[in-house]
Amino acid sequence: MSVESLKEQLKIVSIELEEIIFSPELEKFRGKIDKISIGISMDLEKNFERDPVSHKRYESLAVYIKFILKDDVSKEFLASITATTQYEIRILKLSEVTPEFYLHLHTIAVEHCAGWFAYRAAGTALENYNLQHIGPEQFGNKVQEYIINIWG
Amino acid sequence: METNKEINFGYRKQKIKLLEWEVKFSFDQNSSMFWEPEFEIFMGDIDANGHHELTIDAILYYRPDKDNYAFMIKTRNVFRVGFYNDYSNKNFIISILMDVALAHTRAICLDKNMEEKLPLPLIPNFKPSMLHRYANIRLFTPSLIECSYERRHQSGKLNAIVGNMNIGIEEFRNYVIKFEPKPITHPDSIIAGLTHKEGEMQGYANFNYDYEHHEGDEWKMHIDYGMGILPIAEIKVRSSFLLHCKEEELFSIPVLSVIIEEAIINCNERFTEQCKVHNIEFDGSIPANDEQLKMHSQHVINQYFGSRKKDDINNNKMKNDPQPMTFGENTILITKGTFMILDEILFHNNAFDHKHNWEAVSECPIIEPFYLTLKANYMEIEKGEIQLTFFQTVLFYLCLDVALQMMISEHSDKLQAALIKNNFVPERQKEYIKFGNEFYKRLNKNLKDCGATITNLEARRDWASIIR
Repeated sequence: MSVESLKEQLKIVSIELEEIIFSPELEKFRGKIDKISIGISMDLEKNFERDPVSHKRYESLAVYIKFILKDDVSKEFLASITATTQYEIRILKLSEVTPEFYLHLHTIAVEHCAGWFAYRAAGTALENYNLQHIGPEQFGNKVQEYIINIWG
Repeated sequence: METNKEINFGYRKQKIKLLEWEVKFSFDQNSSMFWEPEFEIFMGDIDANGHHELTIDAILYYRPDKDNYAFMIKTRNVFRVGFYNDYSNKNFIISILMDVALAHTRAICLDKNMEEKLPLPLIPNFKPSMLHRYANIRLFTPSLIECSYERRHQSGKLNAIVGNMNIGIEEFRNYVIKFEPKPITHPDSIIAGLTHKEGEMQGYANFNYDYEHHEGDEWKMHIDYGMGILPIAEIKVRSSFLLHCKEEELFSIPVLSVIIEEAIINCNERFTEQCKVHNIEFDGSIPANDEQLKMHSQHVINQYFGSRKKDDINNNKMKNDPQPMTFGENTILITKGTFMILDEILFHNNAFDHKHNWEAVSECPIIEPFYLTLKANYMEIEKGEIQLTFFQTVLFYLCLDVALQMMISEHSDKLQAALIKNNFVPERQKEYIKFGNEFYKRLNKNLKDCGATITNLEARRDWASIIR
């Protein structure tokens, strides 16, 4: 089963834009931020649900993302954003879930944060800053381990 | 159909922005309503690192049926994309970034929903196969995003030896300024008596240049090389090079020969490519020869040391007092609208007499290489504040004056087809005229406040009568 085929079957059922916080002192950083240090927390939770009409079981996947942005020099807090993206898909076997698919679930969730952040940051000292996507390196060499923990 | 691809690419987001949203009529959520996406995609210039700028405008319509919509939202998503020389997967990669653009739009739309208390459902996950189809059939409309020039192939590194010095030359951009098929039925071919497909051919070439001198020893040298083969076609290509060297090194035969030779190679390659695009069977070329390279190089050197250098000294004060110009929707509209209109009357639209029009605007002096450099610099405005010399500022306002007069005169009718094709719809045209006029008046006031007198701006010409 290719990642493209799994992506075809994926439904995005909700996004919870939970919290976005900008430092009240953000304005003092305008034009002075050379580098931003980024902290990112991610989590994926899987639950089984049953369709009330067809009674078929399916998987509900919640990907939680939190970014914390700090000025790299002063280490002062600049902003943070938290959002959870909820997907639905048929019940998956461990052998079907590839690292690419696992990464895709996180990528789309991160891009939701990026879109929301860009919209809310307009007019602030962070308006030209974009939250970047994550790559496999963000998970170290543990992607397969995470996949087994969830689907194994 | 399953797709299973190993792809190698990287991207970085440059900008995510809500451009427009509209509630057209009140609506209740019902099961018959659906979301439909539309995309405007433009692959822009390539940077020194070999990355492309890819702009995806994602437009989402919430529709009761295929002809109407109740709500629309449009976002602009600008990426830097590295294809790592693997262009075979270009459309596939673009479709992935379309998905990313949709994710941005989904989140922004959700926030907008909450702000405006709209009963909109979540923008769904669109199937990758559908996005692939979109990517495959997409039209790179050279719309407001980039006007009318197109990005060309990858940048290259060159070098030249001057004395004991090895001068590094970086080619950072080349693009087709103009391509025009000139078959046996074209007036130029008829005048030249070349009206037989298999008959004789006639080649010609033209050369021009411009340069920009930045702080330190940074130079940008632009070569505009044009060639025509009758009865086939005519092309003009701008190749731009970046150098860090002393004046006497740049303006030397060895360095200029390398640059000009590369520009001629680019021109020939683009000619072959454009012939293919236009279904013209031709695989010949007009290669550069040493004599030609030396002649063009000497021309540049003579002109630089004979006149341009002196002009630069006089312009120094202007250069030290640059006019900042910042990003804003109106500024972008004015900038891109102006160059789109001027491109039509000077290069693309055959309803206009290009030769006559160039002669007319050159008196201002909107000279072709200056115009192209000005346009390239102004097109950077979307990426942030740009610094323009006083001369460039005045030149832009002259261009604006011409463009505005075109839009409010009978010439406007001849422009409509191209403007609408380029997404410069009547509503935008109205805004362009309104904001453009305000912009123009503001400059005159600023200049008067500074005590400056610019004859070219004070005595407005009747461009509607001059342009043909």
